[in-house]
Amino acid sequence: MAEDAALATPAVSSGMTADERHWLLRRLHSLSGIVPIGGFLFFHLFENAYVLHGGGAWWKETEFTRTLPFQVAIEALVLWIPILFHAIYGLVITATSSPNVGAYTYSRNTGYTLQRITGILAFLFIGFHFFSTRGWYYATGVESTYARMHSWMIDPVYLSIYLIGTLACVYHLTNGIFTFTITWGLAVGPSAQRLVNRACVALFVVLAVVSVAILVAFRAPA
Amino acid sequence: MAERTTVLRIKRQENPRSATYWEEFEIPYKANHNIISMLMEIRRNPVTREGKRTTAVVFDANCLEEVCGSCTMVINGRVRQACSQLAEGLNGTVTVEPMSKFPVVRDLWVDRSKMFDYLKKAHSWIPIDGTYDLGPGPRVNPQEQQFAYLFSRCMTCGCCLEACPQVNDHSKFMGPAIIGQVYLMGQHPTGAMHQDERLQALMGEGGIADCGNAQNCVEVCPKSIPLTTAIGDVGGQVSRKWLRDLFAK
Amino acid sequence: MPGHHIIIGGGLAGLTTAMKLAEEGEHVDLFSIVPVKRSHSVCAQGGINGAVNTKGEGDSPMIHFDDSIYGGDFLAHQPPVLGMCEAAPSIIYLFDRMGVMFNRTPEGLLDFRRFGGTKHHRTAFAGATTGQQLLYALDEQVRRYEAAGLVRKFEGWEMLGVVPDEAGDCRGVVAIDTRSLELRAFPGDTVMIATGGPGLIFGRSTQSLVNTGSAASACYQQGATYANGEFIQVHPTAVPGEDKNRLISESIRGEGGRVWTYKEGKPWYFLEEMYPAYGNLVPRDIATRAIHKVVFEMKLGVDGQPLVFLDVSHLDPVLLRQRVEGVLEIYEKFVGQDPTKVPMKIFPAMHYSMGGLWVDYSQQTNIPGLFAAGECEFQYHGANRLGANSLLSCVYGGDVGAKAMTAFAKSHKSDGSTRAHDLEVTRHREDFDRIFKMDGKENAFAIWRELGELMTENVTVVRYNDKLKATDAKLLELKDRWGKIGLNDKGKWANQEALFVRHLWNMLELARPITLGALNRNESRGAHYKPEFPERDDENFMKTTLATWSSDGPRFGWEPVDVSLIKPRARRYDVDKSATAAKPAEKAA
Repeated sequence: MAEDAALATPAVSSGMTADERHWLLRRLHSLSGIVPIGGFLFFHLFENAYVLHGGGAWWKETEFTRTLPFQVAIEALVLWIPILFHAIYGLVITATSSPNVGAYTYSRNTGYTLQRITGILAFLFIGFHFFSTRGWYYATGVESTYARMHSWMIDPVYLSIYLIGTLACVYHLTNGIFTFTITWGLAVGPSAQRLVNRACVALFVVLAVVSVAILVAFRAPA
Repeated sequence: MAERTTVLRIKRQENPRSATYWEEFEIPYKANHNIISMLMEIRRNPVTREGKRTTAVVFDANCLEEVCGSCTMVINGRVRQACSQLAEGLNGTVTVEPMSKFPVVRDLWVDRSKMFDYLKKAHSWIPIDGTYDLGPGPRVNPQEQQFAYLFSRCMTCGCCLEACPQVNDHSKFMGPAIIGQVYLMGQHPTGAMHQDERLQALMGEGGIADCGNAQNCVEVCPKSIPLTTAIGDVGGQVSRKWLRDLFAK
Repeated sequence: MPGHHIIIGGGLAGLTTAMKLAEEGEHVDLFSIVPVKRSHSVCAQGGINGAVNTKGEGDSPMIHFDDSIYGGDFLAHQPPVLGMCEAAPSIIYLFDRMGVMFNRTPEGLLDFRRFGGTKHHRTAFAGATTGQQLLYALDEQVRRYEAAGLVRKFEGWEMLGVVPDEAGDCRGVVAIDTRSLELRAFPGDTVMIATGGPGLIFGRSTQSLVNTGSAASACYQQGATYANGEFIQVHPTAVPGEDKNRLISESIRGEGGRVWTYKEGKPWYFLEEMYPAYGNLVPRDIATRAIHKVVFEMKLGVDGQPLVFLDVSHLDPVLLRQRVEGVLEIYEKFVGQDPTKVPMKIFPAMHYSMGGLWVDYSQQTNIPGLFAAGECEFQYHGANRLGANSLLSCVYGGDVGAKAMTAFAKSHKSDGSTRAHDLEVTRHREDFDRIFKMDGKENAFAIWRELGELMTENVTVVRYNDKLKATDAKLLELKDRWGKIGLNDKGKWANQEALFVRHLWNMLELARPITLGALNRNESRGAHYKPEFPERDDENFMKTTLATWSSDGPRFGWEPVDVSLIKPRARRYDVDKSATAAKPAEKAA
């Protein structure tokens, strides 16, 4: 019939369209939150947990992260570029939201809102954390020794910033793992999603306890 | 003793460009009144609570059985169909507002045509060869039919868009309803043959990647459509299609 | 060159017509007051009939045909009904191919259930929202043609009238945008009216708010013949409400639901007792009259109210949810009780008009170029419609109409003159100017309520000639009071009140052929029941009522019924059909 051409499947074009670019950015944003950023957070908490064995153990066990070959290149590639991308694009995404948890008080909607708030908090905190530790070292050569960290953790203002910042990071990651499984079609049905959600809440609790324990451990005198 | 009444506090607007204002109406209580039958009472006697003569409130309604989707409004801050909101169970002053995610035509009537445009964009149809007699359709597993049927009840009412924090005037997100329909089309044996076209339409800005997983959609859907299941599944479908295209082309 | 067609109404009939025309490469302008996806067809719950015979019952289109003619009490012209029943299986297959999620058997085949007025499992269904599902499937196909540029939709537009040229052929319509109130003529080679029923004439019915019958009435006032208006189906099972009466589908009885009330302290299953052969699955007119009798004559309504029980609490709730969830949900949401646990309380309500615009076998009205399909025409259901035949007649009528419209457009090319269009636009503009100047004391919506109560009381289940006469007198009085309406809203944007004032006039005009048609018909046939004339009178009344509009009221004529295929016989549901005079599908000589 005459109009068959108009009804036919459109030809699949080659090259990246605006649609595919948008898709790629969103997927990279989702992925970068897990790998490498989420992975690094696990590792970072793990290495710093040595402080529970005392300041000396901590300094010794974390030495290798301070003495990598191609240190700056690795840090930039594995950390700072992904984090900057994830944070800036995350802010772009957050700008498109209109939270309504006041009208629709469901737990998932609360999670949605918290994810955006903790994202902003985490971005600020990570910026502060970087510039006061690794950034400070690159600028002045001053190492973030146990004594330096200890002096901060006994200061209530610093401690509060670190508590809020690390808990925001941990929430953002664990809630992010949950939504990652939906986004990528791994947890599809409601009972699968409930299960993953429970696991992520449990993970949040574990990581939160570990984080607080680490921060508190730094308060012990050397 | 005063007779029991229901007070409707209605957000009104003369036309899409004019300012909004509120008017209150007091309607004698009847247990089987609903918001629409009360708006009908107002039409018969358009006088406000203060005794001021006014115009009848303009509203969109049709089937009054919660199958056409027309009379969707925000009642006491939550989106739903007005016809199934009975007066019984409502206490105090009831606020009635038009949906906020669509342009207001007048008073409680909004223009939801963008949702129909999305259906067009996403090729939400089964591309049959023709309507002439080609015999029976493909066999369908009854369990799969039962699940797909849930999605075929979507009446494009817009509740899920209204409650979605990702749908607003500063985002292009098309909302959950269209994702549910793309899922449905993919469940039909013939529809599945052409699913890639629909997935392609959901890749871009405003598509499925803009979902923020607030999951209000599944909570407010008047037909209890498992929209989040569709979002999870279609998210996987688009991801797989993308990876397939990336590595197989 | 493709023809250019205008379709008024985007329900099942209108969308079928649009799809069929676009498939032929024809151009379509589709008008609908509501977005087409919100049309009244969504309210059809139970299913669509087609003798597919997958249950080993020996069903066939011929038996379906006989059930339909018999159910319609021999008032329908038989050839088009036969055509419809023969096409029914392929129509169901088409919808299946278009993606309707029909319920399935364990083998993955289409499942069928029983409906009233038949002994066969003949009704294909998608849960209990079949009309919604069929409408959506058509909506999707039409959207596909819309994307391809063959169909233009005018949603939120309302037809005011047709445009006849000097020769009397229909050359388009005048329509108004319900938002901007812009009034425009739309030329077309043909016009299809597919605007559904006139339920709102009865105030609270099971129909939707757009079903004022206004478009059909406008055509009637412009010379289209209105046929069999007196045949109004009152559905036996609905939930009475303040704003409307909500249908509880016949499928509830098809799935085993039982109707009863208390008699001497014990449940009395009166349909089963009165009609042992069909029990709860007697046709709608029969069930409605039985309920009416039990409630008003025997005074056995539940708690003394005009209500009886419709009970599914003895059936398996899981199976019920799979098959009639949509109906159960309506009862739960609007009454607040779970019907799988507590019997539903129901009462009959106006549901469907068998009568409508007169059409020939190609769906063309007496105005050349003006077609009609669906509930707004009179052709397929005789004196009473069988459940699940309405969706079928919409689709079949739309299909037949589309073919005739294509042919008509080829042979009746317009000369491009717009003189007639300009005249009609001026006429309608003047009408609206008059409406905007109305400043009397009456309220249009209050008059509508009175109209509804009047018609429901006197022109539904039981009809008496003196009351019908009084009703017509009252209609004239209401028309008079219409002129004394005061418009509260003088706004020129989205003024629903001004638009409704026009609808109300059209309802009042159409109420007259319905009422007077009933007055003229001194017999009882199908849904039309007069205690003064309790028997069917084939000698005098086996004919179609034809009403034509005139300034001093409807003029009536008659047309013989084409009974060339099945010889009329007595209609009884207390015994099997085989016990009545003729064998099923026996051909008349």
